[in-house]
Amino acid sequence: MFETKDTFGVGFRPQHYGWVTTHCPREVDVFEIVSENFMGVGGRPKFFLEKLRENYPIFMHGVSLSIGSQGPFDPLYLKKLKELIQFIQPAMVSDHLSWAQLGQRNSHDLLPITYTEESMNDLVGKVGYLQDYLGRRFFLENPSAYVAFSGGDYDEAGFFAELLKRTGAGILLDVNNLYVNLKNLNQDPEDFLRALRPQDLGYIHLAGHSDQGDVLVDTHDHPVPEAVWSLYGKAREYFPNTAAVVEWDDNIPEFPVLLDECNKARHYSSNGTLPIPAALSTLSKNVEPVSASNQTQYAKFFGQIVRPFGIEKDGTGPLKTDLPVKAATGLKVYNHAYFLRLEEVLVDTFPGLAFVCEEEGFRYIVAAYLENCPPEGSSLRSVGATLAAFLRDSEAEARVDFDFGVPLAVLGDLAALEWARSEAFVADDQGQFLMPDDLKAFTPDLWESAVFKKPASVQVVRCAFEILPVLHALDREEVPSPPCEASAIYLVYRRDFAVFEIRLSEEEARLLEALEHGARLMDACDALGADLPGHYGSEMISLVAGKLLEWAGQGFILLAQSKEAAHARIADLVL
Amino acid sequence: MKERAFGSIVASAVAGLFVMSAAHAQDAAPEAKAEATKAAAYCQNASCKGKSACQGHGNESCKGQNSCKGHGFIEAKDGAACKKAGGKWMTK
Repeated sequence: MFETKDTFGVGFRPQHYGWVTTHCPREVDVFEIVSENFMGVGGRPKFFLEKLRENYPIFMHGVSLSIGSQGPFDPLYLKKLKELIQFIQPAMVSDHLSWAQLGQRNSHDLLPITYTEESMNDLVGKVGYLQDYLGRRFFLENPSAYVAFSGGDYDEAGFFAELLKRTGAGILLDVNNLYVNLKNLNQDPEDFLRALRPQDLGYIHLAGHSDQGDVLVDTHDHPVPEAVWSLYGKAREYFPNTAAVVEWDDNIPEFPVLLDECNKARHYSSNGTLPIPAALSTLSKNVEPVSASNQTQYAKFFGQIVRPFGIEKDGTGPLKTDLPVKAATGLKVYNHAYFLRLEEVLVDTFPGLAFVCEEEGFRYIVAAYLENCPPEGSSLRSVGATLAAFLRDSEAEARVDFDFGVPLAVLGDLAALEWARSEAFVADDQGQFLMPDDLKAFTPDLWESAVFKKPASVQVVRCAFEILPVLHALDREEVPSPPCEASAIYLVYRRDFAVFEIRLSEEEARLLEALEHGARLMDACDALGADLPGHYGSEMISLVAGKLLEWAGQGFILLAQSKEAAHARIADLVL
Repeated sequence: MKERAFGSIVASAVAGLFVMSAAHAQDAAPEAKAEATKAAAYCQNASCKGKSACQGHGNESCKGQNSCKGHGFIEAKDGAACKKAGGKWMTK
């Protein structure tokens, strides 16, 4: 078991995957991963995760649990989280005491909760369920906030202390967030430190933020500022030997810069001064009675966050107005972040599309897409899942009021290819890849009973335009010519952690599509359009089996069940 | 009994394939490799955007990364004010 006392680490980010797993810096005791970036993910990210796991203890830190949302957890999310925990065997697992989801819609942000008895009772039940389900202690992080809800039965420190006491959960204490909340919300960080018991502490987060004059934003794009170091020193006085991790998520520097921050965390000693304004000690810590249920307040707040291009003038209704940050300013931080975060993800996922549309045109697409297809999944990776369908829809031209010089269906085809690339790149293939030698060893019975499957890292994309040359021109950073309108089917596949594309014939496409959810040889023959299902000549079977052999050599075919299961099925048939 | 009737012809149909399968696979791989080549406005804080070290086409590993970072922006009345503040005017 990993002893976490006096251990110091940093976040494991894609920019450093190669360097870290090659050099294995000894100055770092532990790495922290963002859980969602590895849940249900294979390919290159999983390869690096396995290498990391071999060399370091890992803290798993989530951002999408949305424990503060009304209603039960997403069962699929919990299942994937548990699978990742079992795979990694992390030293600690955490997420934020916040919410993101309202109904089916997801803000992909860490929204503040109301500190009410209603919230407390709800959260005590959910934390208990979570810890039982995962079979381990869970750690909750104090989030940064730019607004606070009116009313409440607790302040943040009292709420955390009570919740931890009643559930046995721990806290991931983010001292940068304490500092941001001090400046934005006048919350005394030392109140927070005093309220906690030593046994509540998991580890400490350190990060940088942006000072925008009238509000601090927790951007994780700067070195840890001196004021936060000072607060860290104070926290270490209260809780000596507590582990600490430095987070850096934007404008990510070379790894040695992170190492310096990690070393500073190890050797920092407080001078005992805290950057707390004198006036703070006179602030009332009383809380007001609740005026509206969580559900109503959250719905009003959420409506403003996801409102396209700005909040309403009277949109601050359920928010406190006596804070250092004006309620409207704080609300705008969330509103802007909603659009900017999703746009950033879409640019990352569809770089070719973003390039050909140019910045302004792409923003029109993003705005219309988010309005018509708001994000629902818990991971940012799923945000672009329906962009191609949106652009190909007959209503799209009316919804995206911008002249791109080509039909939107062309852009839809480009989006479809780029989405397939993205999916193929991270797909976590389940099953046994078949090699030609495996098939050579198949008996006729096994040929008949085996269930063949197309791996998720192999994607079939049907297009109305010859779009692949466009994408390849963009890969070479050339300006592409508009594509011809002609049906084209492409196979996007992963090999050695890189993604490639080839053209497919109609028959090949139908065959691979038939294998999407697993199919036996006879089902595959059906897909090729035999006149009478189940009655095939040897020519058809040779054609299909030949393709399976060819694709086995290229890594396009899985055996969906074990050979033992296939043999068991043969036994059933014989009986 | 569809399965058993079907199975009786599988043996003969696939028997001849094994000889050619290796050649098939080897031919196909190089081919694959060869091919493998309306609204109000935001003033976005330019320093918070587009600095990802893993930008590229197709094969980068940081698409859609989840994180708990916030996003900076600048409050500005118009494009000129935004630019003066070092931001990037985003309008529709």
